[in-house]
Amino acid sequence: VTPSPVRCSSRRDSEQLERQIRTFIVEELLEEPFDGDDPLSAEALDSLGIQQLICYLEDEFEIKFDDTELVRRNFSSVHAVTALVNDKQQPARRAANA
Amino acid sequence: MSKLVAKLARKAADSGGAALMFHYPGFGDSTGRSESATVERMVEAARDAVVEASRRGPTLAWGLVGIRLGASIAALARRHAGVSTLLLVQPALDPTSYFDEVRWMARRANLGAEGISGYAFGYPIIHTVPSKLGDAVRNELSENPDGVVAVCYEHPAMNDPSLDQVDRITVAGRWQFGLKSYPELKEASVRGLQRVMGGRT
Repeated sequence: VTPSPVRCSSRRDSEQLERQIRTFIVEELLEEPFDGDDPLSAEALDSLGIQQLICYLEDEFEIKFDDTELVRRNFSSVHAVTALVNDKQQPARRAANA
Repeated sequence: MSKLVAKLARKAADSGGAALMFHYPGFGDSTGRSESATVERMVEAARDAVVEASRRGPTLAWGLVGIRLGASIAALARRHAGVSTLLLVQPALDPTSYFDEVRWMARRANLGAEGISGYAFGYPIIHTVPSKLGDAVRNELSENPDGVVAVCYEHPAMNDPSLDQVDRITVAGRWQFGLKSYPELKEASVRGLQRVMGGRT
Protein backbone atom coordinates (compact mmCIF):
# COMPACT_ATOMS: atom_id res chain seq x y z
CA VAL A 1 0.00 0.00 0.00
CA THR A 2 1.39 3.38 -0.99
CA PRO A 3 0.77 5.99 1.70
CA SER A 4 -1.11 9.10 0.62
CA PRO A 5 0.97 12.21 0.18
CA VAL A 6 0.88 14.51 3.17
CA ARG A 7 -0.99 17.80 2.74
CA CYS A 8 0.05 20.02 5.62
CA SER A 9 -2.36 22.01 7.66
CA SER A 10 -0.53 21.98 10.97
CA ARG A 11 2.97 21.93 12.36
CA ARG A 12 2.59 18.21 13.04
CA ASP A 13 1.68 17.57 9.41
CA SER A 14 4.66 19.60 8.33
CA GLU A 15 6.96 17.48 10.49
CA GLN A 16 5.42 14.37 8.97
CA LEU A 17 6.02 15.77 5.47
CA GLU A 18 9.62 16.54 6.38
CA ARG A 19 10.09 12.95 7.57
CA GLN A 20 8.54 11.61 4.36
CA ILE A 21 10.89 13.65 2.19
CA ARG A 22 13.94 12.74 4.26
CA THR A 23 13.00 9.04 4.14
CA PHE A 24 12.67 9.18 0.35
CA ILE A 25 16.09 10.81 -0.03
CA VAL A 26 17.83 8.43 2.34
CA GLU A 27 16.14 5.23 1.20
CA GLU A 28 15.66 5.83 -2.51
CA LEU A 29 18.35 8.24 -3.66
CA LEU A 30 21.47 7.60 -1.64
CA GLU A 31 23.77 4.79 -2.68
CA GLU A 32 25.18 4.34 0.83
CA PRO A 33 23.65 4.41 4.34
CA PHE A 34 23.34 7.92 5.76
CA ASP A 35 23.33 8.50 9.51
CA GLY A 36 23.63 12.29 9.57
CA ASP A 37 20.84 14.74 10.30
CA ASP A 38 20.16 16.21 6.90
CA PRO A 39 21.26 14.63 3.60
CA LEU A 40 20.70 17.90 1.72
CA SER A 41 22.71 20.17 3.99
CA ALA A 42 25.39 17.46 3.91
CA GLU A 43 25.30 17.75 0.08
CA ALA A 44 24.87 14.00 -0.20
CA LEU A 45 22.99 14.22 -3.50
CA ASP A 46 24.58 14.75 -6.90
CA SER A 47 22.71 16.39 -9.78
CA LEU A 48 21.06 13.10 -10.75
CA GLY A 49 19.80 12.76 -7.19
CA ILE A 50 18.46 16.31 -7.21
CA GLN A 51 16.71 15.56 -10.51
CA GLN A 52 15.10 12.49 -8.95
CA LEU A 53 14.06 14.48 -5.90
CA ILE A 54 12.42 17.17 -8.07
CA CYS A 55 10.50 14.49 -10.02
CA TYR A 56 9.41 12.80 -6.81
CA LEU A 57 8.16 16.02 -5.23
CA GLU A 58 6.24 17.04 -8.35
CA ASP A 59 4.64 13.61 -8.76
CA GLU A 60 3.98 12.82 -5.12
CA PHE A 61 2.54 16.19 -4.14
CA GLU A 62 1.02 17.10 -7.50
CA ILE A 63 2.90 20.36 -7.75
CA LYS A 64 4.96 21.94 -10.51
CA PHE A 65 8.08 23.95 -9.80
CA ASP A 66 8.95 27.08 -11.73
CA ASP A 67 12.58 27.34 -12.74
CA THR A 68 12.86 30.35 -10.42
CA GLU A 69 12.03 28.11 -7.46
CA LEU A 70 14.67 25.55 -8.36
CA VAL A 71 17.54 27.33 -6.65
CA ARG A 72 20.12 26.14 -4.14
CA ARG A 73 18.51 28.06 -1.28
CA ASN A 74 15.27 26.04 -1.56
CA PHE A 75 17.18 22.74 -1.60
CA SER A 76 19.77 23.56 1.05
CA SER A 77 18.08 21.35 3.65
CA VAL A 78 15.13 18.97 3.99
CA HIS A 79 13.45 21.66 6.07
CA ALA A 80 13.83 24.18 3.22
CA VAL A 81 12.39 21.70 0.70
CA THR A 82 9.48 20.99 3.05
CA ALA A 83 8.77 24.71 3.30
CA LEU A 84 8.83 24.99 -0.49
CA VAL A 85 6.42 22.07 -0.91
CA ASN A 86 4.17 23.59 1.77
CA ASP A 87 4.12 26.89 -0.10
CA LYS A 88 3.31 25.15 -3.37
CA GLN A 89 0.47 23.22 -1.74
CA GLN A 90 -1.19 26.31 -0.26
CA PRO A 91 -3.27 27.24 -3.33
CA ALA A 92 -4.51 23.68 -3.76
CA ARG A 93 -5.42 23.48 -0.10
CA ARG A 94 -7.31 26.77 -0.23
CA ALA A 95 -9.22 25.56 -3.28
CA ALA A 96 -10.09 22.29 -1.53
CA ASN A 97 -11.37 24.12 1.52
CA ALA A 98 -13.43 26.65 -0.45
CA MET B 1 21.78 2.07 -16.43
CA SER B 2 25.32 0.69 -16.67
CA LYS B 3 24.24 -1.95 -14.14
CA LEU B 4 21.53 -3.05 -16.56
CA VAL B 5 24.03 -3.26 -19.42
CA ALA B 6 26.31 -5.42 -17.27
CA LYS B 7 23.43 -7.62 -16.19
CA LEU B 8 22.36 -8.26 -19.78
CA ALA B 9 25.94 -8.98 -20.80
CA ARG B 10 26.34 -11.52 -18.00
CA LYS B 11 23.00 -13.08 -18.87
CA ALA B 12 24.04 -13.49 -22.50
CA ALA B 13 27.33 -15.09 -21.43
CA ASP B 14 25.64 -17.38 -18.87
CA SER B 15 23.41 -18.74 -21.60
CA GLY B 16 26.27 -19.78 -23.84
CA GLY B 17 26.45 -16.61 -25.85
CA ALA B 18 28.77 -13.66 -25.43
CA ALA B 19 28.58 -9.91 -25.10
CA LEU B 20 30.88 -7.05 -25.95
CA MET B 21 30.35 -3.80 -24.08
CA PHE B 22 31.84 -0.55 -25.30
CA HIS B 23 31.83 3.18 -24.62
CA TYR B 24 31.24 5.60 -27.47
CA PRO B 25 34.21 7.75 -28.52
CA GLY B 26 34.55 10.61 -26.06
CA PHE B 27 32.40 8.85 -23.45
CA GLY B 28 33.42 6.86 -20.39
CA ASP B 29 36.71 5.02 -20.82
CA SER B 30 36.92 5.46 -24.59
CA THR B 31 39.41 7.78 -26.17
CA GLY B 32 38.33 10.76 -28.23
CA ARG B 33 37.10 14.21 -27.36
CA SER B 34 33.56 14.44 -26.13
CA GLU B 35 33.26 17.88 -27.76
CA SER B 36 33.61 16.28 -31.18
CA ALA B 37 31.11 13.49 -30.52
CA THR B 38 28.32 13.16 -33.05
CA VAL B 39 25.46 10.73 -33.47
CA GLU B 40 26.98 9.62 -36.77
CA ARG B 41 30.23 8.81 -35.00
CA MET B 42 28.31 6.85 -32.39
CA VAL B 43 26.64 4.83 -35.14
CA GLU B 44 30.07 4.12 -36.65
CA ALA B 45 31.32 3.03 -33.23
CA ALA B 46 28.43 0.58 -32.88
CA ARG B 47 29.26 -0.87 -36.28
CA ASP B 48 32.95 -1.10 -35.33
CA ALA B 49 31.96 -2.89 -32.12
CA VAL B 50 30.04 -5.50 -34.11
CA VAL B 51 33.02 -5.96 -36.43
CA GLU B 52 35.27 -6.53 -33.40
CA ALA B 53 32.72 -8.80 -31.72
CA SER B 54 32.45 -10.88 -34.91
CA ARG B 55 36.22 -11.16 -35.08
CA ARG B 56 36.33 -12.47 -31.52
CA GLY B 57 33.28 -14.72 -31.87
CA PRO B 58 33.00 -15.55 -35.58
CA THR B 59 30.55 -18.40 -35.09
CA LEU B 60 28.08 -16.37 -33.01
CA ALA B 61 25.09 -14.47 -34.38
CA TRP B 62 25.56 -10.98 -33.01
CA GLY B 63 22.85 -8.42 -32.30
CA LEU B 64 22.76 -4.93 -30.84
CA VAL B 65 21.34 -3.89 -27.47
CA GLY B 66 20.65 -0.22 -26.82
CA ILE B 67 19.21 1.66 -23.87
CA ARG B 68 17.53 5.07 -24.37
CA LEU B 69 19.63 6.96 -26.93
CA GLY B 70 21.63 3.79 -27.46
CA ALA B 71 18.48 2.22 -28.87
CA SER B 72 18.38 4.83 -31.64
CA ILE B 73 22.05 4.28 -32.31
CA ALA B 74 21.47 0.53 -32.50
CA ALA B 75 18.59 0.98 -34.94
CA LEU B 76 20.66 3.25 -37.18
CA ALA B 77 23.68 0.94 -37.04
CA ARG B 78 21.85 -2.30 -37.70
CA ARG B 79 22.12 -2.35 -41.48
CA HIS B 80 25.71 -1.11 -41.59
CA ALA B 81 26.68 -3.63 -38.93
CA GLY B 82 24.95 -6.48 -40.71
CA VAL B 83 23.00 -7.68 -37.70
CA SER B 84 19.37 -8.70 -37.72
CA THR B 85 18.39 -8.58 -34.06
CA LEU B 86 17.92 -5.54 -31.82
CA LEU B 87 16.97 -5.23 -28.17
CA LEU B 88 15.78 -1.67 -27.49
CA VAL B 89 15.30 -0.74 -23.83
CA GLN B 90 13.10 2.29 -23.17
CA PRO B 91 14.20 3.67 -26.52
CA ALA B 92 14.61 7.40 -27.06
CA LEU B 93 13.69 7.38 -30.72
CA ASP B 94 14.31 11.04 -31.42
CA PRO B 95 17.89 12.02 -30.53
CA THR B 96 17.12 15.74 -30.81
CA SER B 97 14.27 15.54 -28.30
CA TYR B 98 16.38 13.30 -26.08
CA PHE B 99 19.21 15.82 -25.77
CA ASP B 100 16.73 18.70 -25.35
CA GLU B 101 15.10 16.83 -22.49
CA VAL B 102 18.42 15.98 -20.83
CA ARG B 103 19.58 19.60 -21.09
CA TRP B 104 16.30 20.82 -19.58
CA MET B 105 16.50 18.37 -16.68
CA ALA B 106 20.14 19.22 -16.04
CA ARG B 107 19.35 22.94 -15.97
CA ARG B 108 16.70 22.32 -13.30
CA ALA B 109 18.89 19.94 -11.30
CA ASN B 110 21.74 22.47 -11.25
CA LEU B 111 19.54 24.65 -9.03
CA GLY B 112 20.54 27.89 -10.65
CA ALA B 113 24.25 27.10 -10.77
CA GLU B 114 26.13 27.35 -14.04
CA GLY B 115 26.74 23.80 -15.26
CA ILE B 116 29.81 22.68 -17.13
CA SER B 117 29.35 23.69 -20.75
CA GLY B 118 28.72 20.73 -23.05
CA TYR B 119 27.91 18.34 -20.20
CA ALA B 120 24.79 17.27 -18.36
CA PHE B 121 24.84 15.02 -15.30
CA GLY B 122 28.53 14.43 -15.98
CA TYR B 123 27.98 13.15 -19.52
CA PRO B 124 28.80 14.90 -22.79
CA ILE B 125 25.89 16.47 -24.62
CA ILE B 126 25.81 16.45 -28.39
CA HIS B 127 24.59 19.84 -29.58
CA THR B 128 24.41 19.28 -33.30
CA VAL B 129 21.99 16.50 -34.10
CA PRO B 130 20.60 16.24 -37.64
CA SER B 131 16.92 17.19 -37.46
CA LYS B 132 15.77 14.23 -39.56
CA LEU B 133 17.52 11.63 -37.43
CA GLY B 134 14.39 10.78 -35.46
CA ASP B 135 12.56 10.11 -38.73
CA ALA B 136 15.40 7.86 -39.88
CA VAL B 137 15.20 5.82 -36.67
CA ARG B 138 11.42 5.50 -36.87
CA ASN B 139 11.52 4.55 -40.55
CA GLU B 140 14.10 1.89 -39.88
CA LEU B 141 11.94 0.31 -37.18
CA SER B 142 8.69 0.66 -39.12
CA GLU B 143 10.15 -0.83 -42.30
CA ASN B 144 12.18 -3.57 -40.61
CA PRO B 145 10.37 -4.64 -37.44
CA ASP B 146 11.44 -8.28 -37.66
CA GLY B 147 14.04 -9.29 -35.12
CA VAL B 148 13.41 -6.23 -32.97
CA VAL B 149 12.29 -6.47 -29.35
CA ALA B 150 11.47 -3.26 -27.48
CA VAL B 151 11.09 -3.04 -23.72
CA CYS B 152 9.08 0.04 -22.70
CA TYR B 153 7.26 1.41 -19.72
CA GLU B 154 3.52 1.55 -20.24
CA HIS B 155 3.21 5.32 -19.79
CA PRO B 156 1.60 6.50 -23.05
CA ALA B 157 4.05 9.34 -23.64
CA MET B 158 6.83 6.80 -23.83
CA ASN B 159 5.21 4.53 -26.36
CA ASP B 160 6.01 5.62 -29.87
CA PRO B 161 3.75 4.48 -32.76
CA SER B 162 6.79 3.44 -34.76
CA LEU B 163 7.22 0.60 -32.27
CA ASP B 164 3.72 -0.73 -32.90
CA GLN B 165 4.97 -3.36 -35.31
CA VAL B 166 7.90 -4.58 -33.26
CA ASP B 167 7.74 -7.25 -30.58
CA ARG B 168 7.19 -5.25 -27.41
CA ILE B 169 7.41 -6.03 -23.71
CA THR B 170 5.53 -3.52 -21.58
CA VAL B 171 6.69 -2.65 -18.08
CA ALA B 172 4.27 -1.32 -15.47
CA GLY B 173 4.96 2.19 -14.24
CA ARG B 174 6.67 5.19 -15.73
CA TRP B 175 10.20 5.89 -16.83
CA GLN B 176 12.15 8.43 -14.81
CA PHE B 177 15.54 9.68 -15.83
CA GLY B 178 18.36 8.64 -13.50
CA LEU B 179 16.52 5.97 -11.54
CA LYS B 180 18.73 4.12 -9.07
CA SER B 181 16.48 1.09 -8.90
CA TYR B 182 14.35 -0.27 -11.71
CA PRO B 183 13.79 -3.99 -11.00
CA GLU B 184 10.79 -4.33 -13.34
CA LEU B 185 12.70 -2.89 -16.28
CA LYS B 186 15.65 -5.17 -15.54
CA GLU B 187 13.46 -8.24 -15.41
CA ALA B 188 11.65 -7.30 -18.62
CA SER B 189 14.95 -6.56 -20.36
CA VAL B 190 16.23 -10.03 -19.49
CA ARG B 191 13.04 -11.45 -21.01
CA GLY B 192 13.69 -9.32 -24.08
CA LEU B 193 17.21 -10.66 -24.31
CA GLN B 194 15.79 -14.16 -24.08
CA ARG B 195 13.57 -13.42 -27.06
CA VAL B 196 16.28 -11.96 -29.27
CA MET B 197 18.56 -14.88 -28.38
CA GLY B 198 15.86 -17.32 -29.41
CA GLY B 199 14.93 -18.49 -25.92
CA ARG B 200 18.44 -19.53 -24.91
CA THR B 201 18.67 -17.62 -21.63
